Amino acid sequence: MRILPYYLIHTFINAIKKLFRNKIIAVVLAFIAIMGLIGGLIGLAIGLAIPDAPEEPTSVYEEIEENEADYNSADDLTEEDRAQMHTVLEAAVGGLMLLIVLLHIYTGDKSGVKIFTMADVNFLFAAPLRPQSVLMFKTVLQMGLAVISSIYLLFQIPNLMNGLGLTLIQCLCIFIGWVLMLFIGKLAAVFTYTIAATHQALRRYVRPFAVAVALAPALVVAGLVKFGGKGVLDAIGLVFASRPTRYVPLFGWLRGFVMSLVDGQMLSALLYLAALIALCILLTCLIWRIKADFYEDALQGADELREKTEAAQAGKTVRKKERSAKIARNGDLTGEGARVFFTKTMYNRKRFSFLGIFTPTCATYTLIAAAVGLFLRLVVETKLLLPTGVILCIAIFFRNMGNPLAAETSHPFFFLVPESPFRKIRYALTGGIYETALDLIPGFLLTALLLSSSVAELFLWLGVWLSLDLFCSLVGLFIDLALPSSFVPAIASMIGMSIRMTAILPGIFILIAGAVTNLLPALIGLIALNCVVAAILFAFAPRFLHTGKN
Amino acid sequence: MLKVEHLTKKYGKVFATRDVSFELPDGSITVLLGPNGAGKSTVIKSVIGFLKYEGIVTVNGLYNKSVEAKRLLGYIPELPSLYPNLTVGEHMEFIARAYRLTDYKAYKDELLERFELSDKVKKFGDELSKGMQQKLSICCALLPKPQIMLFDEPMIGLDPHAIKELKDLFAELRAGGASLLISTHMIDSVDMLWDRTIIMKDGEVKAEVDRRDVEERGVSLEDLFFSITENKTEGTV
Repeated sequence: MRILPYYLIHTFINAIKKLFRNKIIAVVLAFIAIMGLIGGLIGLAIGLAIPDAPEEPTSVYEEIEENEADYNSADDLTEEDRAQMHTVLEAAVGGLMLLIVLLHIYTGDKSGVKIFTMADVNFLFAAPLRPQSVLMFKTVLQMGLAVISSIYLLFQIPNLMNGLGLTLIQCLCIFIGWVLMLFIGKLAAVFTYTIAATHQALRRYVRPFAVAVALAPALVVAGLVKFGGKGVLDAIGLVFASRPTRYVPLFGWLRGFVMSLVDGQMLSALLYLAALIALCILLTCLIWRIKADFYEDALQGADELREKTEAAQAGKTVRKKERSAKIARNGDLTGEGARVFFTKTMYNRKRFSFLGIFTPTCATYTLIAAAVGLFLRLVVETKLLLPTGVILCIAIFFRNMGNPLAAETSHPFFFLVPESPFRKIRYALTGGIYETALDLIPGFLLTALLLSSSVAELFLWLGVWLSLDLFCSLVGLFIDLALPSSFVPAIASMIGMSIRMTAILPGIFILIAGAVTNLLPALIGLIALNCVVAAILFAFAPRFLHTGKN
Repeated sequence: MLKVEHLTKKYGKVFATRDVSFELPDGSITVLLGPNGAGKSTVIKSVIGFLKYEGIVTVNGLYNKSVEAKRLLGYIPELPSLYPNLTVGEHMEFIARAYRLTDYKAYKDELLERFELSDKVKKFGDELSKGMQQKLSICCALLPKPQIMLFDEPMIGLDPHAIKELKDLFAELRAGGASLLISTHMIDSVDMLWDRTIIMKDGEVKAEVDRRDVEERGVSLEDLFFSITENKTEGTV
């Protein structure tokens, strides 16, 4: 297909051209470099200050396993400890890969539709190309963008080298493993989509199938614990980290590839890699051979996408569901000037959420807090707050992936209101933080109830969550305001992710150091760091508000 | 020749088109006329192969969704959509490659000149106004020189110069032996051009009228349209 390399090369070159057409990008790149330097310096300083400090997985694991016993340095670990660490790592890798691939399959019947734009419909669907060719064109393009969007992971190489003692080559091979997993996930999603769109009767079985595959190992773990007399961690290890399960096609092979690299078994890794590449080829052949007829679905999906994009550009939202008649429509909106961006948030929270508090985000945070809290109390039998704190940090981090203030900044009147841009953004941000605080309240109370070991630590974690939310919101806002609206979304997302990962690295180092030594000062340091980064971004972001978008 | 037989398209239980049949002879301009929601776009999208439908659509005897049939079909959408990261010139090049065209450069330049896009070849898709986007969309569709052209409300957003060029082009394409199916609800935009008009309402063909018949009866297309769509009289003319 001659159009694929043509489109890829020109899109990439043009995106770069657009990138450098905007002077703001220089600020963004400088910011990434500065934050990378700060991260490196802090990491180095902590490394020098704690010469025998172990790495993140070790400390967390040992605190759980040894019931907060005194810490042993990495050199003091026994063979048994190392074996257990290896099992935990392999189980985590296996579980993560299973989750990501199944998520691709689960959403495959819908997400497949979303890969086409109206330009594809108008130009490619009408062109004398087989539907499979069009599908493969877009799939390969998406895979390329997925790889570009994953470049931020390269920032984790120092962590892997220091934490797991891997070589640079091994780290790069793990990155290849990640890319392969994205490829297989995307191919699995497209395969699912092609089948579901062509044979409508099969569509209803896609999601139950993915759920069943996800539940099967969980059931085996439960069975081993209940009837086999195994401990939870042992059972998880047997299912997700045993050698024989590495031979399970796809999920086992991916895990086998990564773990063989970690163990330095290059031949074994190459064999798994060959099996995975063969699987990619097989999936491609299958997609190619299916008599596909998905244009109608894709047309609808592309139309919805266009509608949403146009609505977002015009500062509107596309609503498919009718609003409930019970929602208040004549309440009192208070405040004036820039303050209305805060009072509006409070007013809408009150009328749109259940009891003025519960929203889907709130439910997610509460469920996370409940699940982790119960697991720690009932299974691990500890009151350690660290896991809940870290997992909620991850949830908040990913929740703020885009621009959480887009609902405000996408409206022309956010620019038009005759107030200082700093005031407008300050009030909009305060509204966002207020909402996050409300979202976190039930989870926070539940955590306090389940893991009430230290009130000071609990409140410091709340501070970490809120400051992280502030920092992430400002990154999203900065990217949204600074980059041109026509920017390739994948590259904009990559820049955003790079800034986030660079800026968050010092925080990770501080947290690791705190987990090893004393957590409370580390949490205070983390809050301070988040606030400093947020302040730096706040000093710049509003300046772009009144200059207009490129 | 394009042949549509018993084309029926349902969304759930709602009929978008019901038992639509017509033929498009070579070297003719057929207008698909109807009020909003009549099913005109559904017919066009079914013919180009975007939708699943009941019935048979053939292009020179070929199944309309086959690669061979698509070589003969051209499509201009109602709403232009371009790739934001390809320039005007690159869009044309992209189409040339997608259709495996050879010896297209001179015609490409001619089209860009004609639609006043020559000085905008370096502009990106998202840097063009809606009207310019529609012009480029038309140029892209014309570049492969299709035998059958499907225009879905092609004049929306165009400036007077572009409308004039498009009308001239319609006449040229017909003279060159191409068949054109133009969907519109703006009667005056096609008044001087058409050979045949298919009037649709509620997803059904209400009338097929030939230009000579209308002229012989001494009525205007507009009068005829309203008499049919507003139920003053109904039936095939």
